[in-house]
Amino acid sequence: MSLFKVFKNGLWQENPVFVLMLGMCPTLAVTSSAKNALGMGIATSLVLAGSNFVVSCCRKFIPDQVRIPCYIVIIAAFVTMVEQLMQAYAPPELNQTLGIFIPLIVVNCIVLGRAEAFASKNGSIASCLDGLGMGLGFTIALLILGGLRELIADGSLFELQLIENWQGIYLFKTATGAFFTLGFILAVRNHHKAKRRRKEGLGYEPPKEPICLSCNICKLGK
Amino acid sequence: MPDILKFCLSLGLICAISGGSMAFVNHITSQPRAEAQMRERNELLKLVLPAGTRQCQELESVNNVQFFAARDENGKLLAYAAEGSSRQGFGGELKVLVGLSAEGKILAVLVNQHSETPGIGTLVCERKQKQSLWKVLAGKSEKNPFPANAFLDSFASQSLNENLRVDAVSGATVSSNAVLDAVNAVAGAWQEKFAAVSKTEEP
Repeated sequence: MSLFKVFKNGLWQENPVFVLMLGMCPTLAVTSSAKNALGMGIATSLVLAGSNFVVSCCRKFIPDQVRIPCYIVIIAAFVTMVEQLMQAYAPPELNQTLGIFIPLIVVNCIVLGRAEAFASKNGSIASCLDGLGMGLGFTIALLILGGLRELIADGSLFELQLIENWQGIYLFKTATGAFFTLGFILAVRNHHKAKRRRKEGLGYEPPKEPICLSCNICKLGK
Repeated sequence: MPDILKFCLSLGLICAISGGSMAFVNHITSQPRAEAQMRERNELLKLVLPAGTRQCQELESVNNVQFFAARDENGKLLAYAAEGSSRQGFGGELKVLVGLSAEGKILAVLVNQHSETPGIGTLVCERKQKQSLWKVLAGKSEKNPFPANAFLDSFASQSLNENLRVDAVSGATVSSNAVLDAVNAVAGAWQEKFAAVSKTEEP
């Protein structure tokens, strides 16, 4: 896979929020406004690129059987150091806007997911690009969600009032509204996809074998 | 070598290296971090103190609550400020700056350090200004250095010598209570520091 393809992959085709369904917790919590969404997206992108790079550099020294705890330790240490360095040397405005998101990223499953799915098998430059692409895809998804929610809840975008005297809908400021918005976005996306498949003469095709990935709950007790 | 030993060793080594580098970064950044925090606090102190303040002097701290005295150019006492903290925030420690009149009335409250969840807990921490897009485009917008926050403003003009009464924000109860806890810490320290003084001064 070429490096550009690696980068592009995360943007839409394997978008972490809309397709992989990773990192739902910060997605639902943080997207109450477009500004928060952008801050979270940028902070995650940078951390993701860095942690993918570090994990990819260490991948040859880590035994397969203990790789997950090793990744967790490496990522947590990396993020903690970035947070402290930012508090010490970053300009105060930057620290105020991005710094509050960093504690949320430490245990974000996108970071761990990409370390496991990509960085542990690929070179360091490809991993760094994969992190950037995934981060950018995450940012785009958060911006769509956050923008819609802020518009519906407050009639504003990036704290700029677009619609004067908008009767706000408070529901969309809460996590409940985030579920609604995400559900509608996914419905539109799936509708669009199904329409395209019908045009090509293909119907809906359920997966032949349910993909269980790492969940082995049905094998318990056997 | 049995496998289990190899796993333990490699995991232990990675933990040791991570721990060591974290300790190193913590060590070299501890001073710049404290300085950056101090600078930020001094900037924010100007917002909670009256406009005529010329000099701000650090007073003794009581029960970990740092007091400041604000004076005008003639050295006349204008107001006090205090920095209180609470460890009951959703993301750990939370610090508030409280501007106080000389009689112990709250002038303004500001959260100057927190790690609450953005978009949820920050409802009670942030003072955000909403500007109209059309005014910004027309170049008529004005930046307000101290935008309103209904929760933080509900503290204003209450007296520290009485029980504070505020309504928590729904959806951010833990963060609201943490802010209230921090202001209550200031109130406790205030009563200890100044109530004792005024009692002894009475004939």
